[in-house]
Amino acid sequence: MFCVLATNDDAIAKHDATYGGDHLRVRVLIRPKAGILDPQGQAVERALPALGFAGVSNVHVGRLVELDVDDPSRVGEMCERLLANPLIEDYEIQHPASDRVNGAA
Amino acid sequence: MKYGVVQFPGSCDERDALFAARRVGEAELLWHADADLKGVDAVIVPGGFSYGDYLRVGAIARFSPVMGEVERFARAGGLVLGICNGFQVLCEAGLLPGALLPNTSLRFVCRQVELEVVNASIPWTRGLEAGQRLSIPAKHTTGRYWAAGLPEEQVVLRYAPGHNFNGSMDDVAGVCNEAGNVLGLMPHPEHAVDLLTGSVDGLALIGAPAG
Repeated sequence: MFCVLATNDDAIAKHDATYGGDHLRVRVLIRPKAGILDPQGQAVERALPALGFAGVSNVHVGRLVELDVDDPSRVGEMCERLLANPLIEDYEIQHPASDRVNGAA
Repeated sequence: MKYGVVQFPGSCDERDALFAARRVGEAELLWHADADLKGVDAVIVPGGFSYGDYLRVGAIARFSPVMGEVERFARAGGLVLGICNGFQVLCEAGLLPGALLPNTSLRFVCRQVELEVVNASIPWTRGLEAGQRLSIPAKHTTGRYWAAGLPEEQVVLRYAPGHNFNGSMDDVAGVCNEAGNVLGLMPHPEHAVDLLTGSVDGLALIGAPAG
C-alpha cells in the first residue's frame, strides 16, 4: 500500500459530496501488468527529465474508474468481467471514504 | 456461402467487408442489437471503433446481443473472422487467446504490410501454403499482439521481416482458436480485394472457406 502525500482534498470532498449519495464510493486503479511493455509510461518517463525532473524511474500509466455501488463485494467481479482485462492489467480496489482497501490480482 | 458482417455503432469497415464477401459469395449485415445471425455460414467481425472503444478496445462490444450469438456460433464450430477491431473484440470475448495493446510507437499507422502464412491448415487459409506471402494493408493504433504461452499451431499469420510496425510478440499478425474455426488478424484483407487498390491477396483469406 502507499500513502497519499499530497492531494486536492477540497476537490475530492466536493466531488464525493456531489456524487457520493448513500452509496459507497469505490475507486478502481488499473495498471499495465508488470512485464508487459508500457510505452505510455516510458514516454512520460522520458519527458520528465526534459522538464528538469531528475531521478524518476519505473513510470507506468494506467486508469482510474470511480463508481458508487450498493454492494462493494461485487466490484472484484466487475473488474474481472469488464473494468480490467486481467490478461494484461492488474487492478486494485480502494474504498477511500472508509480507507478500506481490497488488493486484487 | 453466405457471410454475415457484424455492424456495431462505431464500426467503419463493414461496407468494405460486405463488398469483399460479395466477391466470393453472398453477404449481409448483422446489426449489433439483434441476437440473430440470420442463418449465415460465416461471420465477419469488421474493423472500426465499436462503441467508441470506450474503456478498452472491444471491451463493450463483446457484451452486445449479436456477440452472444457469435460466441455460441463459434463454440459450435462456426466460421468467424475478426479483422482489426473485430480481432480485438474476439480476444475480449475469449474466443481468441491474448490481447491487443497500443503500438509501441503510440501512433496510428496506416501502411501496406507483407504477411507470411504460418498455419495453412485452417478453413480461413485453405488454398494457401505455409510460407506464402500476402500483401495487405494495416491501419491501427492498438495492434500490438500479446499472449502468454501461445501454441505455435495457433499462429496463422506473421508480419514478414521488417513489417512488424506495432511491436507484436514474435511478429504475430493473426491467430486462431484451438479448433481453427475462429481467425483474428490486425491487417485488413477486406481492403485488398481489387487491383485498383494494389492487391487482391485479401480475397485469398476471406474467400478461403467458400473454396
